[in-house]
Amino acid sequence: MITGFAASIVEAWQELRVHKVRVLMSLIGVGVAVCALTLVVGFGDMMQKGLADEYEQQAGRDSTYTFSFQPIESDMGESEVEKVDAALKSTTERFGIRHVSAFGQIDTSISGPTGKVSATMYIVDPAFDDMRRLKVEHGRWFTEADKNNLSPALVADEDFLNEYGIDPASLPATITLPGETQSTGTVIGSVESTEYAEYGSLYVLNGQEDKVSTEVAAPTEFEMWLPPDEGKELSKQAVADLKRQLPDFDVYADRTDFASDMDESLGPVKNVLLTISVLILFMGMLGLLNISLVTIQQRIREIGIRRSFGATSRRIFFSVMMESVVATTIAGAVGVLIAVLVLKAPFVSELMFGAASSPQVPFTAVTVGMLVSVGVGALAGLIPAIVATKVRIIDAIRA
Amino acid sequence: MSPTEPMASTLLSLRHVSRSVPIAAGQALTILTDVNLEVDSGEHIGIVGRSGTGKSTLLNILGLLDAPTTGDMEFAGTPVQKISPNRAAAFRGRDIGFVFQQFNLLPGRTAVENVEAPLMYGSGREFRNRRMIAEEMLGRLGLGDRMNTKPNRLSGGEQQRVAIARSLVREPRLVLADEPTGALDVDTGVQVMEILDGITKDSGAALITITHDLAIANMASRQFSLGQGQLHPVVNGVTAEALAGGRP
Repeated sequence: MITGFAASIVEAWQELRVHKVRVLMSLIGVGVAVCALTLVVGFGDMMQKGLADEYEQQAGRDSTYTFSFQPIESDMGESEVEKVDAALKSTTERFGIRHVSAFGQIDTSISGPTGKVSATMYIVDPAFDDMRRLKVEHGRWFTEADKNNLSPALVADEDFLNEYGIDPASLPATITLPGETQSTGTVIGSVESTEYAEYGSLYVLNGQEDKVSTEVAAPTEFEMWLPPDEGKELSKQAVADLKRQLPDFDVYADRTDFASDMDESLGPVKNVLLTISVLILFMGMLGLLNISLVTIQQRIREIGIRRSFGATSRRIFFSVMMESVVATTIAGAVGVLIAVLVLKAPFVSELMFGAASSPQVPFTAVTVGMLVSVGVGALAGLIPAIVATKVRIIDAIRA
Repeated sequence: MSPTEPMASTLLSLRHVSRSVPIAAGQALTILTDVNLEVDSGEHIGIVGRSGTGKSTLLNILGLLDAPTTGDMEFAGTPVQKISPNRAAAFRGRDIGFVFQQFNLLPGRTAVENVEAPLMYGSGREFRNRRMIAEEMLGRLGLGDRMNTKPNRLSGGEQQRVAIARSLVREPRLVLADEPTGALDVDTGVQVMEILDGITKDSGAALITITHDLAIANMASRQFSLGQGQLHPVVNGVTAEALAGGRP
């Protein structure tokens, strides 16, 4: 069995070697088609990944729910904040929710050495960097211990630091905080700037917002990153649990990440490209099938000779099939390689994803390309293989 | 026969074998009628006959490429007249070697690759050692310096020697040669037949040669003529009359 398989591969390879020009011509179509398919799958996946990264930075990961707390008959005072904190702690512990962060946002203006610097200030918890895929470039992100600092810890993005006049490599650095008190805070780290933001960003730890500015109110919204499969159900249960603990509050949760929008954004484009690729692939396969059938007719004598050596019809079937599979696998590998080189080409990354970074070439694209190559080979080899087994040995030898 | 006397082992036997093919509705053309033949191991048999007398049909039946319409046939004691195509293929691969008039070498492959080809259908050991076995066989046939030459660069005699090497590479018990010298000049033909005869004798394989050539037929230890679908033994060598009339 193993010998038969190995011998079939050897036979197939010899056949391809002997007829290399014919094989090359017939496989160009398959190689191009597999390359196109791999490119489409690769581009699709990379775009999806790029978009997902951007969406996750903007609105959190799949699936992020924002919980809002509004006191029914009062304002959000110190006691209300404490109640919400206690309820949140209890609920997240009860349901095993590990990624929770406050999310407050306010536009502010900070006096820098060269004048006023506009910034968006975010009030967050230490889990926020994971939840939003924030990449710390210099220094570090918040820890729970930072909540005890007398001088509030801050993390800024590069846009803010540049405008303020701080070299990110020189962190930590002290900045003057907004407000009349002219108090100071310590920038402990910097993160990448987002493309969509109008101003630079400044992150403040939840609980320290009052030390930063008297204008900043305590956050009333909290984000939770929940498992996508059970996010909906879990958010309902969490809301019920929070309402039970906070009868004087309006508590509600909404899904706020953009993951569900992804298919709407990319789906139609991907489908059109995929359809075109499959059509190209089909045409390549037809070309291969056509040439294979003509070749089999020319090789009837050879098949007869092999039958006289003792080749069974099953073995002939397998050999002819393997010729096709081995050939398309090689063509597919070349096609996939070209596609990967194109996907990795710097000008393509720049064009598609901007110069900063591009997602890795997805393994799915390579796998799909190779599987399709083998599949096309098997399909295109099927009919010639059946024809080959129907050859009468005596007629074949005399052909 | 005394118990100490060596027994002649019958390799192949045909009893009352006939072959007919349908030519129209309800009509059949009889090609072979009541053919009886016994071939012993190591024996060399020559069969002569004019064109269209059924020589190739007989060879196809002997080589299990075709099946008789009626009659019994045994190969090494195994009834083979109605075996499945796969079993026939197994017999052919293991026990039968073919030498064709037109050599039938695989185009584009070198001499050694052609000789290796049957070993692709052999045992694991044969497959693994195919190059060594093929080179050894080509060496025995005096083609040690032509191993990597493709058929179109070989002379007719060399091509037929490659074909002989290929037919013998799995050490078959029966070698069937269909007009093996038909595409060669007289001298080369005789040389090739001497090689074929010698090498099959050495290996103990039976050799059945089907030919038009009286000289080639007369190299066999027993001769038969085929005429009107019947096989007749020829005594005292094949003559032109035997070839023309299909009778001894």
